[in-house]
Amino acid sequence: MKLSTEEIIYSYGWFSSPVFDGLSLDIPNECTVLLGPNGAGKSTLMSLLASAAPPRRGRVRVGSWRSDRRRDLAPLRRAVGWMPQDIVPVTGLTVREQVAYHGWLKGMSRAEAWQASFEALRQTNLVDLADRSSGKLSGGQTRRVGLAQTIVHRPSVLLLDEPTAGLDPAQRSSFRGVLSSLSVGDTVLVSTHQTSDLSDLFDSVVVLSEGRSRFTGSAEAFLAHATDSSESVERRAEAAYTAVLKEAP
Amino acid sequence: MTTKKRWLTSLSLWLAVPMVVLIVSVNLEDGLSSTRGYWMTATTKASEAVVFTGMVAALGATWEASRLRRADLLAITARSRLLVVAEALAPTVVVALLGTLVSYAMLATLALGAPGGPAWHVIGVNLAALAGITGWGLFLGFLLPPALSLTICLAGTYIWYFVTAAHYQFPLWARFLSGGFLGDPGVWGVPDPRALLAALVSASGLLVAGLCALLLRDRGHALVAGVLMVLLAVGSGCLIVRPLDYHPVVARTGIACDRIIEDEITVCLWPELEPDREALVPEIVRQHQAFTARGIDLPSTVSAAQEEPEGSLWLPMFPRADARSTVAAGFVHVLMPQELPESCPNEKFPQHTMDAVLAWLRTTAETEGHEEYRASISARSARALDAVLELPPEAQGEWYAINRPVLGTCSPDPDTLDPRHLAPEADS
Amino acid sequence: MRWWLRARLVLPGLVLLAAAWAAGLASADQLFAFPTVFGPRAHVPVALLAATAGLLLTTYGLDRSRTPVELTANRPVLLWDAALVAGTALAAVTAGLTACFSGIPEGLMMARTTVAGLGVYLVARAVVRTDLAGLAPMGMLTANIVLWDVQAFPVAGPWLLAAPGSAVSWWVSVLVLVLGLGCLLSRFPTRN
Repeated sequence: MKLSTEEIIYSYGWFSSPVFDGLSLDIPNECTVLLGPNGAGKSTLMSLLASAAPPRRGRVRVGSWRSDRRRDLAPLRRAVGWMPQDIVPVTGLTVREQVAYHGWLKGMSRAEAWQASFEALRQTNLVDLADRSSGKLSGGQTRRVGLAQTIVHRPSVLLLDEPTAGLDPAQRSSFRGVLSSLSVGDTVLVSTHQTSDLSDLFDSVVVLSEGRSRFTGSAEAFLAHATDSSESVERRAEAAYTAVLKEAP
Repeated sequence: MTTKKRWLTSLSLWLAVPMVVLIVSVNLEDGLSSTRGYWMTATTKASEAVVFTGMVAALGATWEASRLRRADLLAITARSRLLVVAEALAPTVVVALLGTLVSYAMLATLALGAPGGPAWHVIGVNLAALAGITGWGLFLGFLLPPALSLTICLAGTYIWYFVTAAHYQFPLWARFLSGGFLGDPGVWGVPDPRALLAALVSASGLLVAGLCALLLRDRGHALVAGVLMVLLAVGSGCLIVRPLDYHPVVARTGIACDRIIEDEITVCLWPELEPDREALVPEIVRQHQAFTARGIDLPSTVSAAQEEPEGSLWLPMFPRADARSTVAAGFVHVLMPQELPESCPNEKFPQHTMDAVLAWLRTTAETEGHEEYRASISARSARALDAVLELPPEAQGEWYAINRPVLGTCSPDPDTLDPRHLAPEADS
Repeated sequence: MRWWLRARLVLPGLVLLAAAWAAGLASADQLFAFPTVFGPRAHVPVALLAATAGLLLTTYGLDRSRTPVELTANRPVLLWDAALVAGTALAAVTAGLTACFSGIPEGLMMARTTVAGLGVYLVARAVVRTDLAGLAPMGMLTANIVLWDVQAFPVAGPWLLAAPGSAVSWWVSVLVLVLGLGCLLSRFPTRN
């Protein structure tokens, strides 16, 4: 399912300068990584794509649905699974209840959500923690609960905002393994500021900086910006990232 | 964080102005009309600002602890946790101390020039109370979610400082646990050490609870330990302060009593009253003679101390007051019964007798406003008074001696209110 | 719905509110003295303190609604939140009227304080941080107390401290609640 933004203008508060000033972006119907330094607007873009906040001007498109059409909001939200940067546990609920709650919020019936929560926990290796209080988890476990919440309603589009933030290398590797084994969504957008997260998982790259798109294209085209093609993917990604950011807008 | 940022983001800074306004307002309304010329009064009244400084300290501490908890800074710091918290609390502590200073500075004007100096032990307890409530704020901020901690802190300080002092469910002594409400002891009194000790013990418990929340890594353990400490400390404080009533004052000791005055009357004065000695002593002698001439048996030693020397007549006097007024009022005070019934069933209280006796004492002592008082009492009391005043002095004293004991009972006005039976014609 | 009720702490919130009201009504005749900026102390019904403290878990539960995922919910959670607030206010007014007709006029003051407290909380959370917004009901009561000129108005104070049947103060409270509900439903820029 295609994701795009059309001339969106967005700012925090009424008097602050805009984060996006007419951003138009097409995100391919595949696995895309959204790169950019801190403060580039990655999280903001994610929240706009998820319809968590309406842009001041412009619109977000998810498939044929538009964020500025009231009747499109419900199917748009149903189609999108958004994992924000901060996963807030709902204290008082168990892990499974929290995941099911999010499924129910997305429009599933209670029974459906309860069934689906088990499947989501299975996919994210959390079945053993299903009955644990959602407030008593480690950082890595909380991240996986966040992922389970995101996929419980089987969305067509996955928006994952810094999914490996705060995890140690072993946890990041494990999380990437979970990601790669997911069988949901035909469009995945993962935001990160760590080029080391770039891997064979991703088909295309978007580089965002200061609210503007600096690069949108295939992973190969992105890596081609690195001068030394003999280096590892990680090194090339780093070099390409630096080169793209250095290029004049 | 820069110092400027630390201050600007501190909740206590924003509360500083309303805090100071309230302290000034209360002191202007209340504090500055307390006993002058006595450092103990100036200190105890100033320490009552703890109800405001304590609220700000608690809220500020909760705010800072909540911020540290939210950022999980204490889990990652390589520095001492105590140091990190102390730095964070700096604006709160400064604001609370500022409020304390404002209060002490205002009320020090009551006692400037008086002998002695501030009661440092009372100030110490005041500061300890502040430290304790700050610890309590830390406890709440570290252990409760931010959305709950501040509200619970504010509600808690309301109860700790204000509701305990007012609600009938709380005993009278509960108010002293917070370190406030020591009141004006008068130059003859000092705060009951038990009130001070109870405040100190309670404050210690609250502070330790805060330290538990800060230093114990397991939140559950910190919660249990902190609650236990508070219960233990406040419970101990309650036990200490239970015997007290609403006025936690004990008799001051150590009065100098080495001057023999003519007419075999010895006068003992506190150092605070010494500057007024030349005016006070003749007035005391005059009043003493006025009452003894009416047959009232008074000790030959008149003392400004309640319990020293033994067998003396205590005369409550105020420094820097008009000698005539303060002595006259003092005699009236000691010649009225100290214990009156709190309430009497079926409204059986000898009110007319009470009014008449008090009016007679005030007229004899020539207190300020004794004529206005006479005009305000009931017709029956006024008739009795007029009749008493027509009697010879010794008969007046006899009338007083017969009727005074009645005032401590729940009974209707006795027949002895009418002094006619004491008139000289009545004997013949 | 069950999960929403638990996420919002609806039951614990109602239990606390009921307990606070019970305590408040039981001590309806009790006053506590609090200084004002004008000098003389104001004597404030303890019941009002109970009414604001009773909102603690209700506001805490509502605060838990501000998670990123709830912003993209396909259920009308905002309407339910509004219904929770309105329902709480209505329950308070009902309890207040019942108490008043049973001879406890302070019940109406408690109801008014609850209505205004909910509104002030919702307005506050649109402009300040979560923890500060939770302070708003009690902060609002404190402001009323310290600004009461007891000498000029010895019987009744401003807004929440006005006579139980004061129409103006009731209108203001309802207006604040409506404003708060407006902030809630419009998702007026919120701060976390």
